[in-house]
Amino acid sequence: MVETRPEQDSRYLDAADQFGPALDRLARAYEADDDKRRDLLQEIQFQLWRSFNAFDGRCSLRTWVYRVAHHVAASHVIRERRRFAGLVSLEELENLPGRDSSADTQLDLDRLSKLIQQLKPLDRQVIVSYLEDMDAASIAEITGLSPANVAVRIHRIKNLLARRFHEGGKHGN
Amino acid sequence: MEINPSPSDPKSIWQNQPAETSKVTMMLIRQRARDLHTKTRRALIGTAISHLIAFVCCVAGAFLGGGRWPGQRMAFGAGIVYTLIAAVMVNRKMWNAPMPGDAGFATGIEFCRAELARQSATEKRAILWVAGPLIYTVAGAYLGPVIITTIRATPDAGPNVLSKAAPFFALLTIWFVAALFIRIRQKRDLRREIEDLDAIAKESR
Repeated sequence: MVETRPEQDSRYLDAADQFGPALDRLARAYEADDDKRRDLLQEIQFQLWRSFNAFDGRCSLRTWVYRVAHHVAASHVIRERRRFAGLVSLEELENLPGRDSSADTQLDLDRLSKLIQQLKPLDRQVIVSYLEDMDAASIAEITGLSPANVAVRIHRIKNLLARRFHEGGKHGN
Repeated sequence: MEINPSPSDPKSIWQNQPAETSKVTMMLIRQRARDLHTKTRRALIGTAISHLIAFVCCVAGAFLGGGRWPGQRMAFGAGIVYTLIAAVMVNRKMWNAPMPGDAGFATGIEFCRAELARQSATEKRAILWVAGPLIYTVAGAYLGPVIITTIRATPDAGPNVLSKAAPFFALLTIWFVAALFIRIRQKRDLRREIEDLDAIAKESR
């Protein structure tokens, strides 16, 4: 069984309170199926609780939470090998044509989620962190990419999103 | 106050998506920890059954089968040792399997790389320590006597055991080649993913 430290529960509850909705959104970026997403979210929360046994404040709470959450989700994607084989990098996605169109916000969210779910885990980490309004330095700390590399990827993401959503908007109107 | 998402701003759409209010309580977390323990124990029982079958077959082959063919006792004795080592290895690896929650200090690149490598190693270990003893025992208990009988048979004794068992061995060979092909392709895909991550890490330095 997992050994627990006294502060583990309180740290976890604090993190879950602060980042709960963000973790919910993160799970959506990695799993399209509702039931599997709920299970993934529970697994993220469980692993987060476990992780606080080792948390020593070397990095910020936010970095720690996002790292662990992305690790659990990436592990989930890697385990589901068949899907992993069809995933693309950001560069490859830029060259793929957008197919559907919508003007409604809910549908835009679906399109955005679908777009993210096509990406390989590392690029998903960047795009999700970008959408959560993190700066390049924070994303670099989570992913292990250099801030310059993150900046390049963010630039690509912005172009990609602008193009896809602009296309969608035009079709929808 | 609720902010209305702008239809053209992806950040706004993303951050204002309807949240699922699934409350994960401490009770649920502890339940999950217990489930994990039970799942590991169940998986271990599953592998223990295959180890037990291999062990019993090896013991029977070594002590009850007599010396029908040269080296029989030694081959089954080696099978017993292999099965015992496999049981210890599987037990140790299963209880100490690393989990994403243990890797809070690792960055995304480091974790993804380690996870891909682990995935590849896990499959190799499954073949070596879970299926291995059973394959070894079946090969020893079944193929050994068949080959020896075939070698010893006189030419005019009619169709030998090996030719009778040919369809079975043909199917076994097809299955083995197909499994090997899939495994090689999966390993190559994992290798490529690891190399891609290495290239990104190098570029990022």
